[in-house]
Amino acid sequence: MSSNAEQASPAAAEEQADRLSDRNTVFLVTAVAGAVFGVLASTQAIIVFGVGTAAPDPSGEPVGSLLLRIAVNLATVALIALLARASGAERRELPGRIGAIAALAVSGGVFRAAVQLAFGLLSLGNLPAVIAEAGSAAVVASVVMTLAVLVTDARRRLRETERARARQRLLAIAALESLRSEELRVRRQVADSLHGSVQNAFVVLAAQLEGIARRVPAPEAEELSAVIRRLDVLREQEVRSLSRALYPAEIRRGVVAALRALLGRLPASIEVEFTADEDRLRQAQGIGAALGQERGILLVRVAEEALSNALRHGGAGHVRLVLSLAPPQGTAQSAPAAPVYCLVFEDDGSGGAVIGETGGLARLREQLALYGGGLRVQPSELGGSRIEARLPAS
Amino acid sequence: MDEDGSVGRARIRLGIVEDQPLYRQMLTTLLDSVSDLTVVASAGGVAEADASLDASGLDVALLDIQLGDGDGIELGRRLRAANPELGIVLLSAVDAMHTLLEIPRGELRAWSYLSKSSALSAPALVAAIRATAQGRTALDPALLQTRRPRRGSVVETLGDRQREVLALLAQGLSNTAIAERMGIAPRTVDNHLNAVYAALGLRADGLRNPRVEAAIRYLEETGVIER
Repeated sequence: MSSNAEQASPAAAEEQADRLSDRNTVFLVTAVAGAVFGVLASTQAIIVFGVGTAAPDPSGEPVGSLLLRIAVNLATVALIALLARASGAERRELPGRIGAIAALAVSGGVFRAAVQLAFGLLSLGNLPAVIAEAGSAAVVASVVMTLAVLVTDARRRLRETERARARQRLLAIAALESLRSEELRVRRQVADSLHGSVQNAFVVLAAQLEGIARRVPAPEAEELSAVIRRLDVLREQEVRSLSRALYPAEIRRGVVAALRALLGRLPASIEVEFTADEDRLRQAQGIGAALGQERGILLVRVAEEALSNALRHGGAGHVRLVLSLAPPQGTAQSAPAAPVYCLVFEDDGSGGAVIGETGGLARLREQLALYGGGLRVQPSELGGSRIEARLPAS
Repeated sequence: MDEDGSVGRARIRLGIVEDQPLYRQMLTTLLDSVSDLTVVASAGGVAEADASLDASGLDVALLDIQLGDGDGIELGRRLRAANPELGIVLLSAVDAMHTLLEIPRGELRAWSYLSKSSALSAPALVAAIRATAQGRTALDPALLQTRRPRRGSVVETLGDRQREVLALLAQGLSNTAIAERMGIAPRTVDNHLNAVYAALGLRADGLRNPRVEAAIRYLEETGVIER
């Protein structure tokens, strides 16, 4: 029971907030529209009919009478607005609405006529005038109330459309994420098998061949050794790069380990600088703001692409990679935002890396954007390109 | 205590954790044929090792880095926590020597690394196990041969002899063995090593072993030769 109540509570709270907001809309529209009508009607009465026969002091200042009339109208409007707010007409079906509006119109008309009589703005002797004043108040009350209900309906429809759209977006993102994590799982499985049992089988085969090579005459042993060397190349290069393309195994030890492994594979002739704010990264993990494997792999892919651009096309001899954690960029009212991982790659190559329409960097930028991150390319102070990827923690 | 002595006198007790039965069999056969080594326990994965391997009964554990059900490095750290004197030799079918860099520096004493190909050659394997049992870190000699100091690194600024001494240290050789290998006096090896430690900014402060640190720095500051 209690868990059901807890589960239902966010929806119930939302429903309650919506009702309150609708009631306030009704109140606001009735009050503003009613006030405008009230002021205009009083002013018009003064202009058209003069101060009026039923003024308490016929020789009195027209302005004093105008102010009194306006005050009476505003009091009527206030009553109508409060009653309209309390009526809940905006939540009712058509008959309920008509009933509420009619009741409101009658109350408004009676109230206004009664107050005008009390202040001597009308006299019972002039019954047609009393009916006319009460009737006009009733008409204005029903018009502003109808307007308020219609405005509230329109706002509600807009709100529902926006919510449906947001839900749709969330569903789409969730579907995409689950597809991606399933893809990642399969990739990992295949890569593990290539990395583990297939590589092992190669090692064992090579060892067995070596054993045979030791027992056979020299010419055959030579041939076998050549085969063993080819097997080693196949294992260490072909199978391994296949496995790596599917899934960077080092990501299991975190994004820093995977980046370090990537840089460690670079030829010795390339100068490498790598800085990772490991203390803050570890802290982030501690507070549950870790990157997670999917996002971690994305950053590793950015570094791979940047490296491959720099080395293959840019002829770089010096690369610099910095992984840091930027503080959250949330506004005060929004929920506490996740910290943002920031990966900056720079090289001293010929530069000119561009994101383009379809290239590797464009694809990575799209994927980063999916998680609310981004990618940009600028010239680097090292002389080549500077590629910066930003990615919020999970 | 008497751990150094016991390593010298008694046989080195080994545990093997490897998920490929055939490879595990080959290793066991190879190691049992060496007089001062004995395989006392083996397991096919992390779960089995956690359940059945008694770290206190081992001198050196040989662990596949990538086990079917988990991570050899994390297993090694657990075993080391259970027995601080335990030496660990990591094995991997691919060149994953850089994974040593992910182990906290303070824990790195007697962590060694061999490729599975090298591990099936008895001299390399036995040398690595003996070095590890004595608290040194031994990196795969065949893989080290494919590495050169990285451009812009401190190791690149070392003299040729200093670099040679450092490369042999990284293979797990003792100073005497380095002296023999280079045909120089042990005193000279000491001098070269002191210069290397100074260049790398390492000191023997009791907390960290400069020998282990130097081996790891060598790994960190070298890269593969372009093919």
